[in-house]
Amino acid sequence: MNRIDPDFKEKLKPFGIGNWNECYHCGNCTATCPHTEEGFLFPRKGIRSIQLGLADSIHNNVDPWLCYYCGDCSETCPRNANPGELMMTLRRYLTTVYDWTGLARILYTSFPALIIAFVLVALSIIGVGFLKNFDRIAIMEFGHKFEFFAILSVAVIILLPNILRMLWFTLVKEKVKAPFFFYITGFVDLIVHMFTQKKTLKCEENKLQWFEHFILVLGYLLLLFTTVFLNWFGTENLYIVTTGYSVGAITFVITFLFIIRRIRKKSELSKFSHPSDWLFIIWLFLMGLTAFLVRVFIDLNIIGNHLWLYLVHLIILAQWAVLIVPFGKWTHFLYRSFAIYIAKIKKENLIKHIDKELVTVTT
Amino acid sequence: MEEIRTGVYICWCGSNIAKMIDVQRIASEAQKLPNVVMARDYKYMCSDPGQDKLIGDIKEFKLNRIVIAACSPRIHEPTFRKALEQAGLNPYLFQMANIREQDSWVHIDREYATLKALSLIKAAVSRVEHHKSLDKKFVEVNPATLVIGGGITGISAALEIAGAGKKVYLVEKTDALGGIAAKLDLTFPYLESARQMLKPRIKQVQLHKLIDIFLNASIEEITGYVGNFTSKIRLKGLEKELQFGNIIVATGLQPFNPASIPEYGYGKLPDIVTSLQLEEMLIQGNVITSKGKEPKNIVIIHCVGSRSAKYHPYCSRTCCSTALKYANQLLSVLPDSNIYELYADMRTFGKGCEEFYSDSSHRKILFLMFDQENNLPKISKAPEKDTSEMIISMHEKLSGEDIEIPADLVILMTGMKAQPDAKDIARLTGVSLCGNDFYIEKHPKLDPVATTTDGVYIVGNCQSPKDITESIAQAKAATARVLASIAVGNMEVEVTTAHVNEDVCCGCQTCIMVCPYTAIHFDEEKKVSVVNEALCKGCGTCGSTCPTGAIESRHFTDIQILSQIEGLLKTEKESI
Repeated sequence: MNRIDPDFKEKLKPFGIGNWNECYHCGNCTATCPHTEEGFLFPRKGIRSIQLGLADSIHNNVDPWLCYYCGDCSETCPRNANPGELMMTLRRYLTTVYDWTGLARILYTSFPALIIAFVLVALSIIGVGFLKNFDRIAIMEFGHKFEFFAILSVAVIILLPNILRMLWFTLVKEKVKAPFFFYITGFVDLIVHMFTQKKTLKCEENKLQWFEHFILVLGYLLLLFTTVFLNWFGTENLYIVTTGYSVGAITFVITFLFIIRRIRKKSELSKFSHPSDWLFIIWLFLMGLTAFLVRVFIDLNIIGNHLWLYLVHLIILAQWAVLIVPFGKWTHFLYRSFAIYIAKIKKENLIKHIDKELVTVTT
Repeated sequence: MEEIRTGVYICWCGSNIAKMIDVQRIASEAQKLPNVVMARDYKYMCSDPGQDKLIGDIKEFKLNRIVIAACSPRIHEPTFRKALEQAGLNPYLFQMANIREQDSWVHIDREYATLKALSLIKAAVSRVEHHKSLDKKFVEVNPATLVIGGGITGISAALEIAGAGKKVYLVEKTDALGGIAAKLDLTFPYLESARQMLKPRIKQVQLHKLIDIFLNASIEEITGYVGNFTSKIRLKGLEKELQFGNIIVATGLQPFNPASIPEYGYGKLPDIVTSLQLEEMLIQGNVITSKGKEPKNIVIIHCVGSRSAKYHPYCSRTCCSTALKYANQLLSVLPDSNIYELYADMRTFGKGCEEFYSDSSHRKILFLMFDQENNLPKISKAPEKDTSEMIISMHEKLSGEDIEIPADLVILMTGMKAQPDAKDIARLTGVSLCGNDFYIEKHPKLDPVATTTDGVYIVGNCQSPKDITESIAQAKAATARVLASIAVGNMEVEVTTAHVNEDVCCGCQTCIMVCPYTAIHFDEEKKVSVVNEALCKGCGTCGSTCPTGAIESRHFTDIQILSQIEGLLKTEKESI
């Protein structure tokens, strides 16, 4: 049986809102939420699990990843309990739960550790530059290889095991089972959602938000593709160069809008910003901007005299690749997609159980 | 023999009656009835012009019987009786026919409704012929008052009456005044000290010259009627006789015994206490477990015995707010403890109480909802190595999960029960019970502290569970009633009472057994039953039970009722 732990909510304080007491379970949030359905009664149920400190119930829950933060629940909450932001807090917490290294937890909960990690990565890049005698060709070659290496190792060493942990918590440990067929078709949903985030459209006021996000994801992925696989900084192919420019611009323009919104705090979505949120959009903005400028300097043929720009870009890239991608907010890209997959299987499992109950009732 | 001259009035009641009943037709039909001198219809008989017309007609046509076909006698019988008196006619020479509630409002066929109205009028006309003049009766009121119960409610009533300069006999069965309130530490919702409220009032009662206190006293017998009661009370072997005019019953409550709930294991595990036991701990300033440690996890279980088909169905009404009081008190003495409130529903009604709940809900108190009907929390001893002394397992309704709560101290919010001797006091005072041995008031809304026995008032928890505020409000309400009767000095009593014809009475005493007001006693010398007319309510039970027909109920005599039936049947025969 689940033992309650009233101190559990203390653990969640560094991840966002610390006051979980306000909610008195009227269920308004669940009623407002367009994503709620039988078996997925969020945000209320998740809040209850936190209040009671039922760690298992929180770890096996994918509901937070099914919320796209339209903010309706927070706007209409009679106790100002901020259910939307509580879901966001849970997503941050779950990111650290899935991470097997424990580094995510340290980076999310300790600001000094975060600064030290970012400084260390920056110093390492400067160190590499020093080792290469600040030779432009050598450094840029290193940079290109580093991108390959970082993507591969982060995916294999960190992200893949973390996804497996997520599946362990939510499906295996919970003994959730569905017909084999759904494990396969679930992947179709997963891929479709990963690249379209179409579930966001279920939130009524999220149409524009979805479009911006969709373009940003597209821009980011294409920027990654053009620089890593098409060697944007090294090629003279006009198509590739133009594509790189446009996707770089998309990335920093849209993230700039996001930053402005978080400063203005007008919508529910941008009212509360955790350091991880700031880091994510600012670094994405800087990445797009510096990549864009590096290519401009290459095209103007002045990169030789302004190697510092490339070094800055490389530092930002490295911090992004080894800190934000594996241990930070970037992972929501994966967890949200896998949550769709897990939810599908859970739903089938639920239907099976309901059918069984019906059979026992009728027989 | 006087000539019977009956006047019949048919009221339209605006359109209430007139739209379904042909009032003009029945007025002309009524004119033809025996002894009817005149019959008329009028828009509103109860209005001033309507009454004036009635008074004028009585004088002009020398009417000596009146029938008014209108609404229910419950509404306007007193109005018309007063009008008769003004016209110099005895108010009992009058009969109402209810053609609104019993006819126009409940029928949809105008023809049949009109016929029914006519038969109701015929019944009334035929009955009223046999009505007799009855005269008003008054009894003197003894200005002393008996207050039964020395809790905060009884004390408040006693002080109020004595403050008005009238004698009070305060009878308490235990050896001290104060009742349950004396066992409380603080009160909700303002967390004021109960003793600071109570102690000065007890002192005032003790010092008051007009209040006689009888501790360790039991009431042996109460006889008499409103204004003139006599009682025998017993104290320390002595018997004492008291005389008084009114009784205030403030006998209070007893706490429910939780040992009968197997899930809670009260009495088996050491650190499970009732709310009153916790009050004692709080008064001592010593909230510790049986092992002498400060409790880390404190669980407060609501609705112990209350709102349950198995124990008692009613809500004890004070426990939710009291439980919040405990949570706040415990948080201030043991700030590091975890407080859990296990509730079925939170019911913190009353001034300041919902606010108290709201404030408390922001504090470090965890509210957990259990299933009162099918799935009570279960308390068990924790295994040796566990960090806590006990474990409570429950199905938590808001999360839908089965959970386990660690507990070092469990507080059971025991509900309220009627006093074990509630039935005895009810029999002595002539008060009726309304289920669960609580006393029933005369009217739940309009007369909440009076009873069906005149001069006997019920206040505080003997009537139903309530808090100090409500109990004192009731005490003061009853006091006002008592003082009003003393101020008038005499009281009008019912004249439509039963009356025994001693020549016919066979002395079987059946009437004494059936009388709900203990108004009949047996005259051992004459071997006949005698009705105490000050106690009799004229319900008619004895009259209909009497095997020899010796008992006559005034205003409901056999001839009156039989002729009413005869009148009713006449129309039926003719119209079929």
